[in-house]
Amino acid sequence: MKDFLKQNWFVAVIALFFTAISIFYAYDQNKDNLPNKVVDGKDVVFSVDDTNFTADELYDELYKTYGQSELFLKFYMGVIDANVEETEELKDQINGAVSQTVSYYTNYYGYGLEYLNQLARYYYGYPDFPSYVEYQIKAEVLYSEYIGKHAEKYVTEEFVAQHNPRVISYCLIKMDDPANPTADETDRLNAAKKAWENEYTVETFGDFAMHYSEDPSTAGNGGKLGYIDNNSALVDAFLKVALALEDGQVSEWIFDETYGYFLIKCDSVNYEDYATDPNFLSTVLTDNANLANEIVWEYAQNANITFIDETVKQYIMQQLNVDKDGE
Amino acid sequence: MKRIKLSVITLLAALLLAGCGNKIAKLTNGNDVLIQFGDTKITKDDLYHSMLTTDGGYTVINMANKMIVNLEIETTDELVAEAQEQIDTYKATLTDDWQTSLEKLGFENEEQLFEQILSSIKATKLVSKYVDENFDTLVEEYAPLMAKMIFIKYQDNDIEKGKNEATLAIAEIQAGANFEDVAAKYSISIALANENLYTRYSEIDYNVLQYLLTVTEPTLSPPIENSNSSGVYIVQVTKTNIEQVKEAFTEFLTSDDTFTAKSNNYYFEKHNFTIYDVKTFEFIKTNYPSYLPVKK
Repeated sequence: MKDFLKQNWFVAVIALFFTAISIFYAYDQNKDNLPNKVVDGKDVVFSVDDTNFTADELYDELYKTYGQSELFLKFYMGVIDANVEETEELKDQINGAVSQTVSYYTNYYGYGLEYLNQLARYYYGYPDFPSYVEYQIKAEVLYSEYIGKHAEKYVTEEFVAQHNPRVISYCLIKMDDPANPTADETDRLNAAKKAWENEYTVETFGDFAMHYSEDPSTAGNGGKLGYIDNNSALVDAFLKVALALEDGQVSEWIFDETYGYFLIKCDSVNYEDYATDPNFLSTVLTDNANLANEIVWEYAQNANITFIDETVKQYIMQQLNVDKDGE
Repeated sequence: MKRIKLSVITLLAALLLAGCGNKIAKLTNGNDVLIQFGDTKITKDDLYHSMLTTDGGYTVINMANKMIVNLEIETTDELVAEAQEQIDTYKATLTDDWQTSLEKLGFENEEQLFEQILSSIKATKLVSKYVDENFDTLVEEYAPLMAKMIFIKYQDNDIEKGKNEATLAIAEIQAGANFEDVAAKYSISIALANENLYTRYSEIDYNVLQYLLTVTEPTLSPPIENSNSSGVYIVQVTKTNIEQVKEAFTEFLTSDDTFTAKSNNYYFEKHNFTIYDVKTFEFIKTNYPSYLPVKK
């Protein structure tokens, strides 16, 4: 050994150096680690003096406060996951809705995703805001599919007479004070009027709106607003004219004292064209008070759901306001 | 050569083990299925981790806190009566029936509500106990006293007029005039004229604070020009005797969040509050850091 060290002293020094470094590294990595504790085969989460609180005890305590509502949310998400296919188009729609909302909150309120994550967690129990949006949009797919299958029950003549449903597009020439337009605003309005009369037709209304409309929320999409009905929250002058238009008809220029001048087109009054519009679904769900819950319950049955604990099942049925007859 | 190989293997093992100590506490029956959709299972583990995330460490702090307050504060008849009185007062304001109201608050029965209220009362008593146990040190640190003040603003930057008014005000107070009346006569705001507790940490003008820190007996100050020279203060120090100040000082400390956090930290450390689950530790570190022991 002595001879070996004499011959290889430099290697020995290097080895000693690396040994010291390794010991220090191991110590440094572990010095802040939490201690582990297991009592009677159960993992301990925390202790006060000599009293231990195991993960099992903490689960029971948490269950009292959150158990049922968390289970309900997991059930709801499970039903949706089992019934809604996550297509690329759906993913894009979800991502688009998330970024649009985050961007809106960031620009207008100065706080973005972290704040929305907190809202989603605090008010709805979702892990974060993107999950909340994902399940809202996926639920719409489920509602739309169900209402589509039962359209004869929900989109009746009575529904049409009561709501006057339709799909609308529009072009807006915006003015700061429409009653007293500036020369520039008047010029823009006149240019749009002239173009509409001479260069565009009903069929090319989308191109016209894309070129002339000054409403950034719809212009890029050819002025498309989507589904409206007589309960839509729109300015009176706009709503009155939009509801009076025939299928494919374009209005005269409409003056509104807040926004300026609107040109409105009724794109369609056919159910097929608004069947998946969230505002239409919302109208049907509002008309039929417990329909959203009944849809979820029906799809849960389709997903071959099994409840191990009868009290969990009872709680979920109670939350959905469905009875055994509905199974 | 064999020894060298052994040393190398030991070193590598030590390096691999480094950083592997933190553990997530698991349920004994975490794989139990609660709901199943076809092949998708929602287990107790899934639910446990969702609940932990939603809770963010609150329940652990609440459970530990209940235990600590029960160890530190005895349940006396007086405390029981106080808790019962709070329940009776709440009952008197209700429009729903009692059971519905309890459920809305998240309690199954009145006993649970009673326990919660009692714990909350004891938690306040625990802060008072901390004040009592550390009173002399706290008095030295905070330098509490009671005082009244008048602020005379230099109207239209007329410094001389302001100073003259201050001299007149002091003369009137010394002649026996009511402090609040003098304040109403010379100051645009009389809120400061009420007797208040002031400490080393009070957010008041720097020059006034420096004056208060030198006072040892009740006294009337000369005019004190404020730090931005926009007016003068007259300060009537009313109580410096710590026995006279004790009640207000204790009330101030027990309602101060920073101080309450300090007190909680003391008792959690005293009772050796230890976390073994890394997820819980991270939640508490983020949401309730004051309950974790301070590194020495």
